[in-house]
Order: sequence, then structure tokens, then C-alpha cells
Amino acid sequence: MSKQKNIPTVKSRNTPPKSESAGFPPVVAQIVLTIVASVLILLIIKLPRNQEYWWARVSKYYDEIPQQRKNMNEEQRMQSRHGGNYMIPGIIAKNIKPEDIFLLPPKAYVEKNEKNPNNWSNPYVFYYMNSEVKTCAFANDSLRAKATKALVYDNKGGIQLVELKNDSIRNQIINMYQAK
Amino acid sequence: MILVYILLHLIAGLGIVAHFDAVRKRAEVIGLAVLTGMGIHTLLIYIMGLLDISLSTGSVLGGMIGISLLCHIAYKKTVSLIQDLIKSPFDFKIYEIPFLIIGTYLVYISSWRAYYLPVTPYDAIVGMDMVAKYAVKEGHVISSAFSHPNLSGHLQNQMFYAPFTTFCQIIYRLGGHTVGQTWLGVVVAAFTLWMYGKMRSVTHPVIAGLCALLLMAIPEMYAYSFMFLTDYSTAVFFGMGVVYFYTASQDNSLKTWILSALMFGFSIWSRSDSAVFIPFGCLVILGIYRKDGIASALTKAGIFGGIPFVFFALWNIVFFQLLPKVPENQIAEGAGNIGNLLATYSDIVNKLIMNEIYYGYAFIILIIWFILNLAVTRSMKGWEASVWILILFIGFGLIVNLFTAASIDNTIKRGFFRFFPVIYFYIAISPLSQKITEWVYRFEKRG
Repeated sequence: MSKQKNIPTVKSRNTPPKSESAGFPPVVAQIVLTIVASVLILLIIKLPRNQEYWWARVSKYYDEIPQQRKNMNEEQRMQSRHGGNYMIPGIIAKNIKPEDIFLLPPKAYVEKNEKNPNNWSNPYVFYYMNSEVKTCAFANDSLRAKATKALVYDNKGGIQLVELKNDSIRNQIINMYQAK
Repeated sequence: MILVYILLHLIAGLGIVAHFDAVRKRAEVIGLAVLTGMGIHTLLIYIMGLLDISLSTGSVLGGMIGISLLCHIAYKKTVSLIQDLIKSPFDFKIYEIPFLIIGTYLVYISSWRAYYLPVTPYDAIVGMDMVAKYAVKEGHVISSAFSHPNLSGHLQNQMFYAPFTTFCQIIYRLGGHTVGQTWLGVVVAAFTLWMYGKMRSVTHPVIAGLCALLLMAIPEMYAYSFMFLTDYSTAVFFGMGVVYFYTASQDNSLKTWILSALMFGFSIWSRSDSAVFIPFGCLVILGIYRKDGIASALTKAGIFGGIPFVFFALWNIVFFQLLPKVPENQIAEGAGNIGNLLATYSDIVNKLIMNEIYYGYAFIILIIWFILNLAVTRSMKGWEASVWILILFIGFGLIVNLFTAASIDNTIKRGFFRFFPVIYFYIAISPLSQKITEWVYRFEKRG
């Protein structure tokens, strides 16, 4: 068995013995070190990379706290953080019957029609946001035929639910989703 | 409820930490106990999932209380630890106040955002928090998230990530924190306290404070101190594992080796790819103890490798048997190609190590400090910690080459968080830092 080595430790140093020399009072050394520590902290904060990529963000986060404290409603917090990813599945859930199967549009169609493209049409994201709606992914060819509702964007970026009453409407929607 | 949870983490953790004589400094004990307690409580959720015990606020809270008390079965050790903590002098110095202020400010902002902001990262939404949300909603760890028809034909690997973060989220969701990732704030606060306390015990408090601040000032890492992913937690436990690896190599205590292995185990419990680094640690141990005989070397290396493997197996082998579907084999084709591997290392250096936005000054500081240390002290003391920087670099290249899902831009970018506690701990224990520490204490003593 190896012998125990000397681990760097400051156990004995943390309480420096009283000096035998007639120097300055210990508190003066501590105040000097406090000033040095403060200057070094400021220096770390002011370094260009830290200032730009870290401290600027930290300060902004701090400034946001009072406003956030005024808005503790969980629904609003979800809405402001997730935007369409949270709201669109909610809107669909409110406007669909329990027996309906909603056809999730492909990502490309959503990206083409939303200013800030969301990924709510991903089956997992949709299920995370709302599990009440029965959905089928666009990529799932076999289930597509059973879908009863789909979503289209209007010219102003608004959304409309479409009933897939027959194969003709279903194919029309599928073609629209696939159009480049 | 959050205060009750923190108290329970602390109580459970104290029962475990009491067994390790290497941990007796107040801040270090509290930080380590809270984090260990969190790990223990996630094991409770694991057992409840394994036995299909219904999850509810009452059942989980009752289980947490029970397991926390069970951790004190050797209560005399806890009593002895608490007596040691009470007896140890309170040696806070006024020059620590600036660090206390800035540290509190940063931890406050991070904890607030972890508490306030809904879970945002895509990986968490389709993975860990999805599992947690439906486990709480349906009362079972194995919920519809794994089998719902809406998700048929799709497989998100994120759902199968190691469970520490998922289970923490389950506990805190059941405690009423249905929006946010409140537990992450607890991890950040406990880790910051532990890191400062540990570094303060090996170097001057001003150097310890500067190292802790530089660690917190890493832009990408700070951003994930309030965003729910597995990377921050795994880096925390990995860093603690390396610190106790170094401590064990110095005090030669089997118990400290067990503590190090336990922390590496929790790192794997947070993110399975941490397992890639463990064999390298075993090799280092064999190197350290080669002169003491093969039996001693193999025992320590075996413990060091064995405990993390148990954590790996509990999830990836045992629990996966219960899941309705599991990820397919993720070993990449051409994984053993040396040309690919070298190209990967080149990419890692160019895209990550030289990147100024992600990690601020961390790698520049490391390189400058390493050279300065060699020039001034001509000593490699502390290599048992710094070798992990090399191990991490080698391991990340292997991860990118071995696993199809691993990418430099995501997996490794955040996986790099494991470097930073190691880098700043190495700086704190380096001979150069020890020289400066002695100089500063001499300055103080002149008073």
C-alpha cells in the first residue's frame, strides 16, 4: 500500500498564526485582499468575451425578473416561451371532436407559412403540448387515409381547420402540403 | 415543497457522505450531500418504476422520507460528521464577501430562470420532460409517452437518455412545479457551494473564488444552468468524480476511491456516454498502483470501474427490458477508422476548443496556466486531475466516431461542460497556485 501523500490543503493556513513581526494589522491585509479580489472580479466581468457573451446576458436576465414576477400564470409562461408550439395544439384541441384524427402537416409546410417557424407539427412536440388530440404524422402513409381534420394557413398567416370529408379534399390537402 | 425536498436531499446525502472521511469541510459536505441526496432520490423513482409502484405526491414524498432515514442506518457516523462540522471553526474572511455577492447573484438568476421558464430545449420536450410529464400525469414511470399511437412509427432517442434529470423532474413536478425545471436550480446552487468549498480547502480563498467565478462565466455552460438537458448535471458529477479521483490518489483511501466511483456513477446516471471515459480512469489507477502489486491495483481499478458500470446497467440493460420499445443499435459504421478519428479530433479543436463564443476564456486560461506552471515550478504535481483533460479529449473523439447520434455541434458542444470543473480544479491544485497561495498567506501573516 502506498503511503499517504501530502494533499494540498490550507487547513492550517486558513487561520494564520499571529505575526511575530511588527507589520500592519491583519485586518489591513484582509482589506487589501478584498480590494484585490473586487478588482479581479471586475476585470473578469469586463474582459471582452465575458462582457459580450456572458455578462450582458446575465444583466438582461436580472432586469427581466421584476416583470416575470408580475406574470406567474403558468399558461401565460408557456405561451410566452413556446409561442405557436404551445398555442396551435391548444387551438386545435378546442376545435376538434374526440373521435377526429388530426393530420399533422409536414415541417416544410409550417416553415413556409409561419414567420417564426415552430415545430409543433412534430408528433412528439404536439403530444408533449397536448395529448387530447388524436394525431397522425404526415410521413405515416398508412394512417393518412384515416385522418379527418387538417390545418391550412390563410394568406394572412392565420390558421383554419379543414374537414377531410372525402378522398378528393384529402388529396388536395396532401398536394398542398407537398408543394414546394 | 422545494424547501422540504432540499432538506430531504441534504438528510439523505449526509447519511452517505458521513461514510467518507475525506469530506469534512462544511461547504463541501453540504454541497456534496444535497447532490448525493438528489441522486439517491432518483434511485427511489427508478425502483418505483421497476416495481411499477404508483407515482403520486404522497407516495414519492413518503418514499423520499423513508429512503432518507434509511441512509442513516449507521447513524453514529452521521452524528460524528455533524459533531465535526459543528466543531470546525467558522473561518470566513472579509475578502470572500465579493465572491459571496457575485456568486449569490449568479446563482439567484440561474435558479430563478430554472424555476420560472418552462422547459424549452427540443431534446427535453421530446425526451426527458415528455417522460416526466406523462409519468406524473398517469402515475407510472413507463407511461403512454413510450407507447401512444400518436407516436407510432417514430422513435426519439432522447426518451431513453439516462434518467437522473428525468427522475428529478418527476419529483419536482409531483411537488407542484409543473412549469420549469426547479431541481436544476438546486443542482447549480449545491454545485457552486461544493466547488468553492472544495477549492477553498486546497488553495487560497481568493484563488478559489476566482476559479469558481471563471467556471460560472463560461457562456454556454451558464446558459444550461437553467435549461433542462442532461449535460450540466453530468458535468457536475463528472467534475466531482475527478476531484475525488485526485483526492483518492493522494490519500490512498479505498473509501475515497468508492466516493469517486459513485460520482462517476451518477455522471453516467445523468448521461450514459460518460461511461466511455471510465476505462481510461481504470488504466490510470493501474498505473498509479502498479508498484503496490497487481492485487491492490486491480481491486481499486475494479471498484472504480464496477460502480459506474452498475449505474450504466441499471438503466441501459435492466430498465430497457421493461420498455415497450428501445433505441436501435447506435454504433456507427466505420467506427474504428483511424482517418475518421483524426479528422474528428481536428474538427473538435477547430469548432469547439478555438471557439470564443461557447466557452469564453477557459481553454486559453488552461493553456497559459499549464505553460506558466511548468516554466515557474517545473512540476507536474496534480497530474492525477489534469490527466482527465486529456482523457476527455480522447473520449469525445471516440464518442463522435462510435455513436451515430453523436455530433460535434450538439452532443460534444455541451458534453464539453465536463472539461470545466476539471480545468479549474487543476488550476487550484497546481504547484503554481500553491506557490501563490503560500505567498498570499505570508502577506496576510505579516499583519
